Amino acid sequence: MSVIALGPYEFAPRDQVKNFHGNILVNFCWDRHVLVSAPFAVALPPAMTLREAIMTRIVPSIAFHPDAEKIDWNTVQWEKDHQPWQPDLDKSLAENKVGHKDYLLFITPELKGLNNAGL
Amino acid sequence: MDMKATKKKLGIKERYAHMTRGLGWEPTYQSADAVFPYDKYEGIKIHDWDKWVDPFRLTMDAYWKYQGEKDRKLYAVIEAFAQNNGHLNITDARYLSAIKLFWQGVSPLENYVVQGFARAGRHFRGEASRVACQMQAVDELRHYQTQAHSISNYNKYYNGFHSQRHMWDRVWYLSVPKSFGEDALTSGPFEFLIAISFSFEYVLTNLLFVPFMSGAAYNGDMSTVTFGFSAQSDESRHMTLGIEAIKFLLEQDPANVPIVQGWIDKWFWRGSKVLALVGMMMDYMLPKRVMSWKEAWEIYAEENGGALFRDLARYGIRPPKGWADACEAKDHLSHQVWLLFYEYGGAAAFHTWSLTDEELDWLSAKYPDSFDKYYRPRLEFLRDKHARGERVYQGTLPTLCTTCQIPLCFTEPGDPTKISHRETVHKDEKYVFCSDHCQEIFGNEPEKFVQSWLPVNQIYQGNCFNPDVDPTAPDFDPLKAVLEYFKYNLGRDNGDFEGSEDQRNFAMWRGQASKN
Repeated sequence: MSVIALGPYEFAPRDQVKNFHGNILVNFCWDRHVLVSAPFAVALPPAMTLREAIMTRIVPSIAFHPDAEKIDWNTVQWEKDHQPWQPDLDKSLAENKVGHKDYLLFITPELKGLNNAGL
Repeated sequence: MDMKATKKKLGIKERYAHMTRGLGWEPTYQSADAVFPYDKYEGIKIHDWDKWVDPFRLTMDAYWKYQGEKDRKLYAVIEAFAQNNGHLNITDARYLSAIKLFWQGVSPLENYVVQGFARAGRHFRGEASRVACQMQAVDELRHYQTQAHSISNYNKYYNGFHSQRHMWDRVWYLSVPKSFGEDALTSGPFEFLIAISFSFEYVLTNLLFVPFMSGAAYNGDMSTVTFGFSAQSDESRHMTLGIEAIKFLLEQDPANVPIVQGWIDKWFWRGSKVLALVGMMMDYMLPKRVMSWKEAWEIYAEENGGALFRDLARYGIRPPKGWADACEAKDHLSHQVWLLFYEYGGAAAFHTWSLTDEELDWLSAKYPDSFDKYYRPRLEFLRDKHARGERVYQGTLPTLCTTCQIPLCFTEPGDPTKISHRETVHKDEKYVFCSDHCQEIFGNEPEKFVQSWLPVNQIYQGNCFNPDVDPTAPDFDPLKAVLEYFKYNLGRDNGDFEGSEDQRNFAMWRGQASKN
């Protein structure tokens, strides 16, 4: 469906990648750890490795969670936009085919969250 | 003068006829379609505009008289409140956060509704509908003004009330009500009517005004109670307009039913999301609580709304698509939003805080199915951290829903530890959503929502810094630069209530008023 309008109604998307000064916007969510109340959106250069993105932007942002320091990033399971995904942390975002506004879910099944309740 | 009155005053029905339809005329040198270009393109078919009747049969002459009387009473109270330091009678300075949020995020919506009804009051073909819309436009303007005059007294003493107009167009969480209002304003006049008069005023407004005004009364805020009371008779007229409007549309033509149903689906969901802010206010910000958000939802949405949709079933209207999910969320909504604002408390222009044991117990009792399991442990953990001097302030920006613009803090229906997210690719561009319903709203009008001004994304695009800022400077602090762009007084408007200037000043002034 589309907007019902009297005249032509076409506008450029406001968040096209060209507006982000060479970066892409990437969303990171820690599965079943809702003490971190919402996923993060971070702007990253596509040439950055996934490991560097995690260490510089995600690790400090979740550090207040008691499970954070127990994460073994080499065994973390991933989903990208709801699909199972196996990235190489030491390759760049571009090489891992991380695209603009992708949603990366990292799953740590052995870490059960606050009170072992997924918090 | 010796003119004789020849006839008694007109009866109310006659006067209504003269002051509505009697003011109209058939255009002759322009076609009616050229004079009213916007009341057909949405697909709504109206065969007889004369079927539109205001149940109050209110006319402009009587309107001015009523409103003038209400204003005189209201301003006498506002004046007395100011002269008697009424602000010191509130329960606790934490209460002010609720008023700040109302002033920052709800009052500007009144202004949007002024614009919307002024436009509807020009563009509907039927005179009676135009008159009703014009009166509501003036009502809403009065509401905005009375709120400004009441709340300005708080602005003399407390932080976070300044720069409302500036913040509205910039601050991240205010984009939630702002985008709601702009979506309605940029709709056609009939959709606007269903969005505001029906979905918001009729179905949801009790959830805003009843808890808010009784919350004010419970917490000693006579100023807010008075503007609420003054607005109340207007609100009941607006609700009546909402129900009359929808019945009018549904009775005019069966082809209107599916169009109206689509708008109800959309606007019920959008409204329920905006009201998450009210839920947080009721459960967390009122030092003396009235009722829980869940209780309010059960009375005003489930019971009253349920009855309404049973009544509308004879027109072929069913409850909104998001109804079951919105009802399921009543156990979670307010807690998830408060925890979000607590975590991002450095970036909000009101205070957040740790709850006392007594307050936690109140929530445990009100939310037996969810609070102790999912929310109390988080609140206690954060409170302990704060007590150890490690107050959590999140500095990394959250993912926003493209439609409602709320950070993705909501969980999947029935699964309270699983953050809910959806994505859509439209013309090679990806969009993220918080729920099925926000995704569907986008899918119905993608051209509209590709334009969403999402504050987080705008910050990363570099559009939220003051012009003199140099992002390449070695000591550049992007978060601080953004908050300065918002015109926050850093360290005074934001952060935890504990240790805030508002907390200190209120305690000091009240002490001066009550002690030697």
